[in-house]
Amino acid sequence: MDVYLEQLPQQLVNGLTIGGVYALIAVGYTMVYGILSMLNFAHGEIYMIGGFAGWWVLHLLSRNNVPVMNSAIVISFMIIVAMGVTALLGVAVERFAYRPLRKAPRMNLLLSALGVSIFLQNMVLHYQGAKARFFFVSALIPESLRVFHVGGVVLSFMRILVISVTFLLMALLTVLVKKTKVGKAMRATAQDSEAAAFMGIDVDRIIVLVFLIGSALGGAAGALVGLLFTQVDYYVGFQAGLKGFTAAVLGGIGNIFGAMLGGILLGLFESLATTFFPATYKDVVSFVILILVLIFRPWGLMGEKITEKV
Amino acid sequence: MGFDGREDYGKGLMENNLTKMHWTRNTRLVLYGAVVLVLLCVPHVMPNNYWLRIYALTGLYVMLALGLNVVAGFAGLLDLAYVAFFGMGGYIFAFLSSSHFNVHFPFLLVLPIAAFVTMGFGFVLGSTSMRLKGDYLAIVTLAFSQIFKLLLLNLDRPVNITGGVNGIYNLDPINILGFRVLSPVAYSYLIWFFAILVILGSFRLKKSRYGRGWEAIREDELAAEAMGVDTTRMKLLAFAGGAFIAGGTGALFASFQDSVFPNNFDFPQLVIAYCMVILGGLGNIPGVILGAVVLSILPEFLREYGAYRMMSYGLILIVLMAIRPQGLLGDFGFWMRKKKRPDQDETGVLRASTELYYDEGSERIQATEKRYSKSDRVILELKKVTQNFGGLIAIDDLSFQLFQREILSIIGPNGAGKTTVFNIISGIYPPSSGCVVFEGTDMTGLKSHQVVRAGIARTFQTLRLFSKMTVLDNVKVGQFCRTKAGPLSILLHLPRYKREEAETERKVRETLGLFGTRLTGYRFDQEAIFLSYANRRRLEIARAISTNAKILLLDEPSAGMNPQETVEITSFIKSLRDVYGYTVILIEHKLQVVNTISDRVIALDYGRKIAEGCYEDVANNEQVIEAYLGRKRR
Amino acid sequence: MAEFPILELEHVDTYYGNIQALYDINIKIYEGELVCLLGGNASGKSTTLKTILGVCRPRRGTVKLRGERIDGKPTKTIIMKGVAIVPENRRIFPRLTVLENMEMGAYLRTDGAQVERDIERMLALFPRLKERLHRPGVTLSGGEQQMLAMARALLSDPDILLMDEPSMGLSPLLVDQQFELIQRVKEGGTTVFVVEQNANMALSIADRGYVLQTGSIALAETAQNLLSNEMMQKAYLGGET
Repeated sequence: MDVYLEQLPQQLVNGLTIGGVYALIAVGYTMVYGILSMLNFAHGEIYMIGGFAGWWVLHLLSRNNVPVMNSAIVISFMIIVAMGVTALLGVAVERFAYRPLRKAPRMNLLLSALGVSIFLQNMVLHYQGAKARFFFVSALIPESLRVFHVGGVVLSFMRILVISVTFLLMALLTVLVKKTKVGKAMRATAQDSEAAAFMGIDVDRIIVLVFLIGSALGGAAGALVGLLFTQVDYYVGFQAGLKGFTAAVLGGIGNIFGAMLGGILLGLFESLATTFFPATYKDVVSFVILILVLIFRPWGLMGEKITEKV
Repeated sequence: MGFDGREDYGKGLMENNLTKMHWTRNTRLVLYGAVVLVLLCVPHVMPNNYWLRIYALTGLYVMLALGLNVVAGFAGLLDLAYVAFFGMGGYIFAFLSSSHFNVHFPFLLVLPIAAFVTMGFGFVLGSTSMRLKGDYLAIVTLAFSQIFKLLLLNLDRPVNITGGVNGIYNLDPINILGFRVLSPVAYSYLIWFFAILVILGSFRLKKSRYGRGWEAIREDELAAEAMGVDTTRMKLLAFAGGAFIAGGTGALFASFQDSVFPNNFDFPQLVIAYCMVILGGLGNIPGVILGAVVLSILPEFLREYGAYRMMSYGLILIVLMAIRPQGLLGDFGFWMRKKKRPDQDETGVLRASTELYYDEGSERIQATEKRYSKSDRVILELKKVTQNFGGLIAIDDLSFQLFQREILSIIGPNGAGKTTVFNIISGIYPPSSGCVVFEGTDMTGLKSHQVVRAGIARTFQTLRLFSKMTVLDNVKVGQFCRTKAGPLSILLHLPRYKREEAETERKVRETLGLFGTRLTGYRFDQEAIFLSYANRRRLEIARAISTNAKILLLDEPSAGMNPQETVEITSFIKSLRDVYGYTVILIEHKLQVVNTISDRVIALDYGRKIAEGCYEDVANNEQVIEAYLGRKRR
Repeated sequence: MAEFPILELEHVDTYYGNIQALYDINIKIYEGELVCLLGGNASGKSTTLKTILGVCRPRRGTVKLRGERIDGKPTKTIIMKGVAIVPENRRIFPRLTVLENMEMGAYLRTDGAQVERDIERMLALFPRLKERLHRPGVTLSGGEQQMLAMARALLSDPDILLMDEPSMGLSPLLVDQQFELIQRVKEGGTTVFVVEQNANMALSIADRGYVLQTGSIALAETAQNLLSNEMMQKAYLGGET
């Protein structure tokens, strides 16, 4: 038992790190679901493309795997470019694949999303190959900060970076959604899009904004994970997408704060599970959680039950 | 022309139809013969083994796609675990017919085991997910398929069950009654033999009550349930049926490939299967076959494999959903049907449908005398029913009785709770308190399809027809709960199935004939969406009648009809009771309709009964007038 | 009485596909008036509102706001031009606070300082809302939601306020309160067009009324005249044979 307790702080840190990433991905899912009541299957691939975009920036700004600029600038560029690319991609996907299906049955939207997901995944596979790309991060961080210990817990620069950036982005999103006029309009549209239209809110534009922000956050997550785990390949989107989706459902699909909470909780669960189960089964944890939640409490932790009107 | 002339014309048409039928049967036999011939010759015509292999794989994909067509096409369930069932069948074959576990069962035993065991898993997975709506079902099934794959990859330690990432190979050769299936040609025959079975089975399922039930569920699940279809059970059956076909196909595939690997049964295969089904048109069997063939062969003409092919599949999905969601052949049947104009005689002159299909019988209906009237026997009773929607009280302590063969009208302003009463009686949701008693039995809380089976059917205020189904099929759905043929009867066309189909056909034509000629003749095969508004209302009533109901709940049956149509439907509803002995509860806003046919009237306001009695009493009741015109300011 | 109507519908025919829902509708509403549109079920009331709001496009006729044609224009434009609506069942945003709901009402306005002053004014008019300023809308009682819906609509500083069946889904007591609210709003100078099933209530506060029956205007009179008109009962309760 003591052995497990000893590992606890470490697992907490690990859990928070990956949890923050899951939260960012989950928010993207939940925002789109809240407004359009659709599951954006393609979101995982957007995350993956964010990772590739980050890799490209690092690659461009490096000679012989050594960055030619200040690390802080390089890392910032990576994240910002990743967010920019994915934001645009998200908007394009909405415009060409989903908007024509606004009035179509739900199944059609889901299948189209599936199609986008497959298309993006294989586009990257086709043009970038199946081999993983490596992020040569060692040159980015001074030796002393790469890995260090604080009271028995192994920390690293990257872990701290990921946690800070993810929580910062979540904080910014919270401010946007709670304090700004357009953020309130987003919430209003998600709650009742017809009434929002009666207020003069341009629902189409709000939808574009939701895709823009949700995708950007997914892209940031992709870039951060690339930095953290030092590699990205065409397939990471699929897994991450499912995890992110699990987190969104756990927190209550449609609820932004639920998604954040769900992401962090999922990260913690996964982390704690590795103490008991072999690592290869780690993913099973999230799938089992997903199935259990959907069967027993589909509205998640912070969601609301909805009944059909006759 | 006169009476006799019409009769002659009718007879002539009958003969014409008979010869048409003969012709059709002959062409069908020729068609079958041609197909068999083609299948016998094709393997020998293939230029090399490579194309022979493609030919065999195409057969496998046709089966795989048709299995998915049952789940996703017929029943409309987005099952993303389908490929896992395919894998299950494959791995079961590998377990039972190789040196892996040193079990060497014969092929004729392993194939059914694979299919049935997989079907069992289909039942299990299905029953956990049936309550979930579309998106959630998709995700849960996706999660299951991922777990399946993870198990395949990891269950090679500590005990080697699945062979891990290396899979299982060197499977036993197939030996059917002494005849060894080894060569590619033999495999082609074997695979396409089963493919033909699956194709035949699919057609038979589609034309049966199962096919109609599934299509109804896909169109409008709530309405299907309200017409007597046990939707939960049917969805489960579709799920399991798809799993059955996938499992069997998996076993054949394993044998053909002489091995199984985890990545044979992964997401790409799932996507390909879906593309095939969607390209052809969900539910459309020839379309799905075409889609499977196209997507098996076409990529071979593209130099690039792998990613490029998958990119195209993704693009196919996106583009199809955006511009042609019904697939290449979807609606094809509809275009064909429209071309036939049976109301056009040999000389090309159009005749009015009323002339063509003049039915002596229907005229007789109008002239028949009244045989039934309101009895003194209570057939339905609501006792202190209250419906509380989270604080909003829609029905408040409502009690009333319904007498056998009575026409009872419920009136009241908007929001008074009239439709809610129907919803409670018909089982859409149970009341918060109180009970509903039908012929002495407490029916409170029964599901809709059980209520229908007991003998109460309804129509909807907002019209909930199965738009893409034909007039005949819409009404046949009503007979679902009165027929029993199961998968075996249907697939083998056993006598019970044939008997029930003929009975259903007869009853449904008879029911539609009640409306004169409006819904008969060429209209039988017309899709409901093409009917005029008034005809659609009539069709919904016909559909309710065909459930063999004793009580009909008609929710604003004349809504949207012009005065003439209103008069007609009103007298029709009266004849339903007078001539055929139905008991009717009517929700109506047009008070002159209420006046004409009601035995009694109940007025509701704010969910409470404020008046009950004959029309004069209720209509002149001050509370009622105030309810309609609104309370005066105090 | 101003000669120039704020809202005018002239010879409007509206169809749903091939089914005609409105036949030659003529309605004029002048500044400062409270006009009501009455009718029983399926009379065409909500279709009329949808036509005004641009949700449905009339096949014939025109809809004019202050003389300017708005038929065929998108809903957002029409609302921008000065039309506000309290939708059926009020439709306040359940998980936005009272204040946020009100801010949404003023979404299209750019005069921030004036908006703040108007919010203060609304809160003075509806003190119960001030008490619940930061509570989510769904926690408000029925009566408070009515007030919130009104305040929200008024905060867009509209030329005309449309109300869609304000009595729907309300208990009798709340119906009284609702119409009292509407009357207060009218007395404050706002032009109001109320679509309503409850004729007596609406007529008790209205200047004039139109009665719809199966898509056409059966009666167009002053409220006074309508109240005492026996034709009303016929028009409402399903009409003659």
